[in-house]
Amino acid sequence: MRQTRALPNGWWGMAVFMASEAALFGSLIGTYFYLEFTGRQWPLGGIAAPSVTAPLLLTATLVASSVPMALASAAARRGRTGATWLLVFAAFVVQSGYLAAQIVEYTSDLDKFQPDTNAYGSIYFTLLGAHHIHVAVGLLLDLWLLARLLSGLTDYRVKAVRAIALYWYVVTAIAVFVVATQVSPS
Amino acid sequence: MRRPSRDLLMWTGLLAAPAAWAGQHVAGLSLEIARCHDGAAGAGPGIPVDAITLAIGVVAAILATLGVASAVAAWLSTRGADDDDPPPAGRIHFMGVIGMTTSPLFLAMIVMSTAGGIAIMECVQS
Amino acid sequence: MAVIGTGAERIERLGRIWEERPGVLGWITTTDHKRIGLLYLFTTLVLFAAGGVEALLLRTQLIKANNGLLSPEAYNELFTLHGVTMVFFFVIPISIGAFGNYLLPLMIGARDMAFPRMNALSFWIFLASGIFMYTSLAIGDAPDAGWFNYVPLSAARFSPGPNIDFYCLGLIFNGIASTLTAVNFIVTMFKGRAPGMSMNRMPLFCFAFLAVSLALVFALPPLNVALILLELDRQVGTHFYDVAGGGDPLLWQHLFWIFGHPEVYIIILPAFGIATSIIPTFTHRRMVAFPLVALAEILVALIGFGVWAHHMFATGLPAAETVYFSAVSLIIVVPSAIQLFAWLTTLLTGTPDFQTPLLFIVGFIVFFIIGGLSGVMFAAVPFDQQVTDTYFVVAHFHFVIFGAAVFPLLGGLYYWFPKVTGRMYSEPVGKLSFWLSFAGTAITFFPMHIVGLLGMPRRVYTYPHGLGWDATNLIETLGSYLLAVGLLMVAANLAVSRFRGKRVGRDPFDGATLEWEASSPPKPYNFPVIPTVSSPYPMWDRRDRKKDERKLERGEMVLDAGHETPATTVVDAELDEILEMPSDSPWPPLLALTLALVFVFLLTGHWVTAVVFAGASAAVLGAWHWKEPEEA
Repeated sequence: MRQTRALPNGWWGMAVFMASEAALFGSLIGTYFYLEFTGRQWPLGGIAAPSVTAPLLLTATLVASSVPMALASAAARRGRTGATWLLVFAAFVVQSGYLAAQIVEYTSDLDKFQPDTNAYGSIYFTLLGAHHIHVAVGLLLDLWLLARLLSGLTDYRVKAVRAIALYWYVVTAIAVFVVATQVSPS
Repeated sequence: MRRPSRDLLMWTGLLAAPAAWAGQHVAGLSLEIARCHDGAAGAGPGIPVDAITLAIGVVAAILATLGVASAVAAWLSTRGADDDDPPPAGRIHFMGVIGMTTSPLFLAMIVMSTAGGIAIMECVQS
Repeated sequence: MAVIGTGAERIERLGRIWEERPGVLGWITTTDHKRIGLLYLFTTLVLFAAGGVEALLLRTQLIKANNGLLSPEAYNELFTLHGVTMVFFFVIPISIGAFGNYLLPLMIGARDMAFPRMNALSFWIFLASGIFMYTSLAIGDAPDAGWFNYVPLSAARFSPGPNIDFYCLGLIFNGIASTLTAVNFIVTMFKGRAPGMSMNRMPLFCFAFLAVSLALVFALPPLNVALILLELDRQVGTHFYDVAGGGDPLLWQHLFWIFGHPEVYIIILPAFGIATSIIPTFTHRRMVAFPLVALAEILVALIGFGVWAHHMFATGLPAAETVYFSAVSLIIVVPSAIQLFAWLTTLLTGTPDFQTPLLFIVGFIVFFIIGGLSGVMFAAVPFDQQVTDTYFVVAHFHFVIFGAAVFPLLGGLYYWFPKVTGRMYSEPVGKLSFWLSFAGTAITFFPMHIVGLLGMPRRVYTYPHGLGWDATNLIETLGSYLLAVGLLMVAANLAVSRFRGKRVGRDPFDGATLEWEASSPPKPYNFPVIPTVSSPYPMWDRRDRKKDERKLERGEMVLDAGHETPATTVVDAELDEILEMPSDSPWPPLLALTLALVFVFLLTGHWVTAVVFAGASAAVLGAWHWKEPEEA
């Protein structure tokens, strides 16, 4: 595969775009703490503070999925199509499992309190919801890669793998901050 | 310790002071919001806000000063070069001038806001 | 690799490779940054006229006390739409969409932006968002809570109609266009510069636009969060902004101004970039303290993120918080002052030739000084608390947003008119259009300082006799009519000269930057040879330009094997690879259409249909990326 000194345009495009998404989550997390500091108690309205174990375990799984993503990126740069496909697939499986478990948690939380209960509910479900949407979009990106890689690696597809791997690193890093915020009252 | 490369000096001179200021600004404001809003979930009177503000201010000021020093060092190491010269010398000289000018401004903001935050003792409305 | 042939044959081949489809279809599917720039230009000028008519109606309503031209409700819609139009649908898109798109690739010696199709997408989204927003006026439900739309007035309880939903959804939609453009500009400036144009050799115009783009990337998300949270409160019943549910109306203000203050620097920075392009050309000397001007442009954008609560000094924030914002608001004057001194020194030590473009820059400097001085007065909390929400602040921001941001745009329209059209405007009419606009601006906005200090609040649809405001308001309204005449004269001068102006060559003003190397108007491929660069003033380096002629004959860096442009390393612009770029494509306008439908159905409350069109948008994105560039 063609080796270049600088990172590809597509990678930079993804990087700048993800900077804007990071600012989005920064604003949401800032909103969470602002509402907490102005609130009379936290969580509001007698809602129980969230459990710590499940969110932390799930986040650890997501972080772990960065390893196959990174290896896929390296394999792509060395032109190894089969290895790249399998590694992306492995990451996809772990990430889908993560999202499925998170959706189960989310719906079970919705039974206990809702976004329109009070401001705590509002920011809780909005912050987590925004994160889950980003994970879902990431899964679509994975599927796209898996489909395209079936017909082999090209320089363009190597750049795509690198850019999508970057997407996942940033979403995973954001997940750490989101979950830390989520469990902060506990 | 090996002498830091000119590139490292240049980047530190450009980025250390703004990063220090950004961190101090957000942290200092968060402390004041926590102190002064009357939510029970906030910091309340227990946390020594002034001491922490001062500590953050001092750390930030040290980092910003480091930024100034790095920028000066980067600029001095390329003294003969013109701003137009080809990289690396021209580019390092150019960025050195930039760092030498911007870093003191960030240092000034850090000092002014830390002093102001400490000088105002109570949570009065402005 | 070089294909065999002479210089003339290479040029002819480049022309064939870069030619786009003819006719209207060519314009709809274009990815040429110059055509996209022109599409933005015409659209924003129409929206400027709309915002201007709104302003004239407002001023006419205020011409005398107790006037009955407009009802209070109509007045509220008009001043809100005036602000929203001018900020989001005129000044930002004309600066970055028209000037930025047209000029950036030319100034860095590139053939196009890094992402040509995404560039087109930005324009079609922008157009759709303008239509979306103005539909509200057509159905009589325009946003009416001011351009900054404070809660609780804009919450569902006090604004039950769709007005505010138009505002929120329209601005989120519009923001997508600006974000994509910002991403495009940053990657283009990082990776697309001609080999040899290391960071220290990038023109000041580019530094300004780099600062703007970085600011947009970080400023738009807080606005999007503010708008999304408000829509959630309005549609789903969440409690972000209402006190009873544990929310806080000030949260809106914080989020809005964390966006809003950087936004005003985003508005002014392109003007700085245009001014720093015009001044060296018409003073025939390099800009004084070039690195300091470059840094000032980036610094203003960066520090601008730390001052937002100076818009909230009258809301009862604790003094311990406001002191942080006072400190930073005082320091932010310094980079602006640095630029001012650099411009003035360049003017005074060069040989200034006061042609129309330079006149507009002089006008800009005057208005920037006045607006800046009134602005820094606001950094003092006690003073701010006296004059906030009066006409004093209306005066301040019109001096900076109109006087200082728009005058360079007008000067820039004149300056680059010969490049874009290949013809020259009328210089005497140009000078007259400047003096009328300058006088009109001064007469309209300066008295507002006085009437503000006399206590006239902003956003009032009328006022009673006997408060001492009558004469001043009359003068201001007459001033606005004069300003309108001046602006119409600018438009007429350019429109007529487009067809009857004297033809000119590549470089009528002896400009310093690379756009003057291209033909007038530039060919679709901009440069037959990727230019040799060794300073920020490439056109004044005659040796490099001679080198380019030899390169053309030898076939070096002509890149005529395909639709090609070079990619270089980020800091030092060393050649890294040759990229095959996409050409005209139907996907951008199609994606803009499906996205527009998502927003329309969000507005009408048809959530499922909106999701369906979101899925359609994803499908269009897939189709867009299906065909890959040819490998070398």
